[in-house]
Amino acid sequence: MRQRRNSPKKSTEPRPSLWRRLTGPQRALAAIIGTYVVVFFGMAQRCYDVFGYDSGATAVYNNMLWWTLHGKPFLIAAMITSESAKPISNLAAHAAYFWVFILPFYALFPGPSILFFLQALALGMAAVPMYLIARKLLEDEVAAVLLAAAYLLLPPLVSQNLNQVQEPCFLPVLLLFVFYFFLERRYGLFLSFSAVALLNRENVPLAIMMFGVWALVERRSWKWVVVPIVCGAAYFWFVTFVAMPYFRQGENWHVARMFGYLGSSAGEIFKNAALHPLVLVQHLFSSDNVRYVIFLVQPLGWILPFFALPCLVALPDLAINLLSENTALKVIPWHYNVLTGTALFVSTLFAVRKIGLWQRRKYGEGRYLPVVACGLLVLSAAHWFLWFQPGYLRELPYQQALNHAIESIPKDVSVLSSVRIQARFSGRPRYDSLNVFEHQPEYAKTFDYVLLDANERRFPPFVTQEFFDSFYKNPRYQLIFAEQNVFVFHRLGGESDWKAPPPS
Amino acid sequence: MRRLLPQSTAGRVLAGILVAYVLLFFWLACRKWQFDTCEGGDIGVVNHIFWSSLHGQFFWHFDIDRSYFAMHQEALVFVVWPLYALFPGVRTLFFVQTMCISLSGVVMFLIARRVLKDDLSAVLMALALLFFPSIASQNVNQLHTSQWVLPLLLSCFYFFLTENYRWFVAFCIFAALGKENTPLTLLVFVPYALWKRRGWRWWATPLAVSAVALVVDFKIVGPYFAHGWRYEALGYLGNLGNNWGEVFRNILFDPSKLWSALTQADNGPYLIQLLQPALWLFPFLVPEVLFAIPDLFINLIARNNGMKVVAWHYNVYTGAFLVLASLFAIPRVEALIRKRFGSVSLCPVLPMLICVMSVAHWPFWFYPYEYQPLPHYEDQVRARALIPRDAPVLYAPDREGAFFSNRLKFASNFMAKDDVQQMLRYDWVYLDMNFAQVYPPIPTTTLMAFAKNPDYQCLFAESGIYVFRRKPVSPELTVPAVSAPAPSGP
Repeated sequence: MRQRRNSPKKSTEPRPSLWRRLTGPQRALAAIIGTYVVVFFGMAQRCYDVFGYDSGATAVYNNMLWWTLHGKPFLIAAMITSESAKPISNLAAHAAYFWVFILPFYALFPGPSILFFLQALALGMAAVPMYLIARKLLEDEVAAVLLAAAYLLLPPLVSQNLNQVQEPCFLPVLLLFVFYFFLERRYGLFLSFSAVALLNRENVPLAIMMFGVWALVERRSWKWVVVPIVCGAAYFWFVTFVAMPYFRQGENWHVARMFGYLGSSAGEIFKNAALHPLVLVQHLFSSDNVRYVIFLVQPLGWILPFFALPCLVALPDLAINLLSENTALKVIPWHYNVLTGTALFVSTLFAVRKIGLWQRRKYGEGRYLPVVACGLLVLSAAHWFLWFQPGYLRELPYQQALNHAIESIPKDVSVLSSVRIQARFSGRPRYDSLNVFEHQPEYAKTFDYVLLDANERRFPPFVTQEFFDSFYKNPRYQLIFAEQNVFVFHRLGGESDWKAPPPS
Repeated sequence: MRRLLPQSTAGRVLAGILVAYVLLFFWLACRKWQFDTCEGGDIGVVNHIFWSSLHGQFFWHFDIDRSYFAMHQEALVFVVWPLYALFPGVRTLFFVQTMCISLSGVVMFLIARRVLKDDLSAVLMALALLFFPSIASQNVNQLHTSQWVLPLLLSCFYFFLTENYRWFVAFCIFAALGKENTPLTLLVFVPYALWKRRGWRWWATPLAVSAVALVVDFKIVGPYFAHGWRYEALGYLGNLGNNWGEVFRNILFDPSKLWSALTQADNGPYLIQLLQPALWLFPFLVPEVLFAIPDLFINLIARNNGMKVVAWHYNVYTGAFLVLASLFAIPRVEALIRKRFGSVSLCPVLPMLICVMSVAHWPFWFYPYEYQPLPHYEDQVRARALIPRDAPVLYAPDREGAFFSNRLKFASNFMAKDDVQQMLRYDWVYLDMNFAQVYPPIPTTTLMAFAKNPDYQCLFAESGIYVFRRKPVSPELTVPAVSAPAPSGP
């Protein structure tokens, strides 16, 4: 009754539109997100159209969704067992169940373009929870918008627009809501977003567990401590020791190969890490690691992320990247640093607040936070050189020849091509890269068409005269296209293998 | 003496930073040179002009086979020469170079303290200068003399700012004794003084000093030592003309030529790399940016793309004055924001940002692998140790010049145009074939000219490094030097 008495009278005027209800800075943020999504979707599409970059991962996920729509969920034609060369599911490599949310959109607009768009959209929308977090911490809307923009341009994040299609790109928006509701102490929403975030990849539960540690340090109630840690650990155990091995069909987990200096199995790795800590320390301070950490934290002012507890959430991924001997994990523009970069950025917000308070104490009342936020934005933007090369968007000199070669290949046949091109052939039952001729020659011979780009000088394998002759002088293959050093060979004889029933 | 010591906490902090800076960069420069991981051609040139002047030749430039003053009319070398006479060697020159850069930091600190009225911000701006890519890189980019002038030019500005006329004049003259492009930067004091509505002597003095310096450099000293040799830098502007008159005419009256020079493909990336650490267009908000314009303009119109490499020595003045202009832009922007939004303070956050941006661009000029020995380093050292200190040497590739510049007769295969007759004039030959990617290349014929020559004995052949000695050793120092083909590098 009290509530009813205090509530305002129902107005007969129509409720103002959402846009009108937004504040000035919020409108600016909406404009920034809109521009960001349009620009980076455009860039990603252009990069794909001009064969500007490796397209292997785009091909993998495009093919996975294609197969999912065609009755074999999560199957990837190019992901094969080493023994029998049978395709296996993406779930064997990654516990990425969230793709089911993407599937309806893909069903409406099949092809890589929708994935590029959704990826740019997901990355752009991550600015919303980042804005909410910054606004909560700093109580300054302008600074919050500037910081959200800075986050959008942070190299580990912005690079993902051009780094093919990868699962972690869809994580930040969810993880940031986890952060936000953790800070807001809204338990139900915190758990809900955590649960959805877990579906992104197998490394996410480790990050969720760290929220429990954070809560423990903050001396929150037991539910904040126990549930993230226990649920995170249980989910991690389930996906790594039950679900993924089931889909792997006896294959080794590729992650185990990343720690070869410690051992070849999970048990061996943990045992050696515990028994030989000096080996770990030596590895941690290798030049690759030092350079990686500097590039990772430099756009955040080097030390700023390390003065607050949210950096705990970055630690598991950071530790994996540092301890791994796979240098790919230390490449900032690749997708191994999305989670790390996001958590470190949130941690930096706490440092920004401290800087603002320090300035107020030292220099008196004034509006300092937008200046600091502007500084971070400049720093983020200035590190474009870590992820952008104009060559990604430039047409190849033999662009037309490649397009003609692709057009010369029938739609549903199996094709082998270089990693730069293979995404074009991924919306079909079978495709793979030319590498298979080296690793699994018998499997390679089952493909109907082979596209050779002898101009390729960036992504191996490079086409040598000997390799070219292995088709050109081979009576089992017929040259059907030759233009500007781009060749298409058609395998003669035998029924086109794509008609074979898909493997069970 | 006490007055020379830093009086404030900020001053003491800066002094500590400068000591660390000098030690660090001096060590890095020596290490890079010692490990032979950098171009050493210019180290050889600069070292030799000092070394030769201690051994009977007047500041000899071995590459052009005439006095150094034919190319660069720098009286400042006389100031450094006594120090070199005391401690002859490349390391002395590295130390002088790093000291000059760090002294520029002191002057920037004084200017910033006066402009921003905040000690912490002043230290940060000094650091921004010291780590600005085009300046920090000069500590480890061979040996060049542009950085000697930098503290002098900034001192000119400081005394202009403090309206200390006597010292202003003194530093104008000192600076004009530096590289021949310095008077162009000094000339900017003319419009700047007019802009600031200073008395006539503030603009007349730099005008007179610059005019005299240019006349002395280009009409008297240069031609006297050149003996008909063409001023090399003019070749860099070949896209605009073949002589100074033609170049100026085209700049002033042929907009199409000027436009095509300004819009060369290399200029875009160059400008981005140069301006980004100074916060892109931020320096252009104030008139002080004019001081960066002369060198910037020359670099933009030149066809020599070496001048557009931020980490090379063509951007020292430009970089310093971009930082200086950023410094002056801070209070201006602060005033603008205050007018619109009320109380706001950009200090020390903006100086901190400029400083961080300067430091953060280290990937433009610092490559950690350059400070590690090459796999064949030990072999290089052993091979070079075989060659007597004063013996005439032919060496290859061209970048190895620094190691042989403490002698009167030495030349690279490039200088000898890989001509067998010219190369056979040298008693000792040092060939390091490990630099396949480096320009100019070493043709196999050059190696074979000695390997198959019965007059030469191979003393060393390991890890792609060869040392040959002429069997009947010719009388020392009777070999005429050969002059180089037109240089193409920095």
